[in-house]
Amino acid sequence: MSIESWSIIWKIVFVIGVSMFAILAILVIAGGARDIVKLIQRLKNDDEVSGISETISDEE
Amino acid sequence: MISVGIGIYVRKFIRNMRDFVTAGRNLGLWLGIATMTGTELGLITVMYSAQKGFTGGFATFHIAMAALIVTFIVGLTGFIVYRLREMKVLTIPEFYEKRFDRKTRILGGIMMVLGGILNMGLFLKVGSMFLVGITGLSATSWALPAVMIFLITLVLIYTVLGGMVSVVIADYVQFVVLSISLLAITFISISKLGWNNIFDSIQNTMGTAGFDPTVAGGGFGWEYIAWMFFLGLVSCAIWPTAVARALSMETPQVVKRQYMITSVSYLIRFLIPYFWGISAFVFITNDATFSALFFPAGYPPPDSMPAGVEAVDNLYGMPFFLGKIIPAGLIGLVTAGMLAAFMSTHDSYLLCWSTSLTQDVVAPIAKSAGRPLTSRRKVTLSRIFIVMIGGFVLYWGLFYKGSEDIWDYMAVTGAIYFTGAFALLLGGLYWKRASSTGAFMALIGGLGAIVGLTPVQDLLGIELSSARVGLLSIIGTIVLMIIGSLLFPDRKHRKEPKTSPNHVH
Repeated sequence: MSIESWSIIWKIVFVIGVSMFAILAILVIAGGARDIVKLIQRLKNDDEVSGISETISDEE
Repeated sequence: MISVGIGIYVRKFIRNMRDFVTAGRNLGLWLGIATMTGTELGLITVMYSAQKGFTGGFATFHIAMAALIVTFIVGLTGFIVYRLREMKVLTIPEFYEKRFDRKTRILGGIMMVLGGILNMGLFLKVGSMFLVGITGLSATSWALPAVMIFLITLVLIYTVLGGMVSVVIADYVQFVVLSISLLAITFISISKLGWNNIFDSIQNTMGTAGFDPTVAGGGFGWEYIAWMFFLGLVSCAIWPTAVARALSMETPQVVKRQYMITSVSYLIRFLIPYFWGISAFVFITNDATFSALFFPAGYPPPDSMPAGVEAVDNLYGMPFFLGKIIPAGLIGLVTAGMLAAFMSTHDSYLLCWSTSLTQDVVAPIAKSAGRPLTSRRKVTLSRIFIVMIGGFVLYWGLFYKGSEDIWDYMAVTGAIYFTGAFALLLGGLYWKRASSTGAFMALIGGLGAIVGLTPVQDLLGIELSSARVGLLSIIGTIVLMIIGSLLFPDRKHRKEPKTSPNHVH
């Protein structure tokens, strides 16, 4: 393959890769914030159900 | 500071070892992608990848492509990670015990922690060097040790307090800063140097070798490409910090989606730093003064420099370039982004190795001695190990005087673990005749990868490329697993891992 062909391939890879990452970053920033809220809520619920807030269990 | 606050806030939610190690397996898809990206895109990765781009040009892009393809295929098929998540293990060595026996778990845990801690030994120093360099602080005064102590203390506080919960939330905050920073620096590089100028300059200086990874004499070749594909598999499906994210996800199905989407991050974690290194090369070679600093004997540099001539280490090429082109007002953003890359990797590595020491070495030994550890003790022990490993990394960074190339150092120390682990995971998950003796032999065989170190080769009087040593080590561990299993089968086959239609056969 010629040097020009390689050059075109790497240009396409770079442009598509960076564009995809930009889109991914937006999705992750939005979706991740929602996931954190859900994570904290689940941990809080688990905490209330177990009734052992601020302690670590002695189970193995 | 935000990360420390997170650690203090989430501390009250840590009730047992499962919460501490896997955030209670409550991670949603997008948070899982954020933490995986943050962990695997560390400042050390940025530094050594930029160095690779600086010396190899656009031909290095094949490594990024290999990472993308392999991670996507792992996501599509669920290869290794799906079954591990389905088995609900907390660590990879825990799988060794379920599939083989306790001694394999303990040996596997020791090998993993040994390779892992040595592997991260230079992270703190190299990361601090970048920050000291780009902010203009002197590298020879108190600045470097002061930055090292400050950074490791910051990471230790929130990792000790909140375990995986604070790590993933801190990773999310760090992902936001890091991704903005990555895109901004790339845009500035292109606007300063010119898109076509970057490609034309590489063509004029490096020629075909700067674009074609298969060309002879270009530093890569087909053997190297094959090794990069394998390292791509290791990075996403074998390396414990990445697998820890898979084990923390809500369901095995989410793991597959996580990997398919994160394959873009695996591409970018190499592609953008390579591009920065290439841009740094173009910037330096287009300026006679800068070129004289990095290439005092001209380009390409001779194998050995003339007497009295000394070139600046090309590891400094990228930070040197960024320090020159980034406007003063944006240096803060870049520093914050790289600081985020630094912290998000350190926290995950500290958590991974400390919990493995507890779960896979101390706890099984205690259990064998008839004194099983409670969850409370495991968490306490893990916290102590986190501080001890942090202390070791600080000591190693301050006093280690090795002269190896960073990439070689990392590849060899990592290979001590992953060459054996690959054979065990492959055999354990997909070959019902794999035995504990075969597993034990493969783990020990992984130590053969140490031949990749230049001082060891000098000692033995041989000269082999790291790619060849790596590939031979992999083949060797697989052969040992097969021979050991066939010659010494387990008396009674253990229960096969639970399967489902999603498995690869």
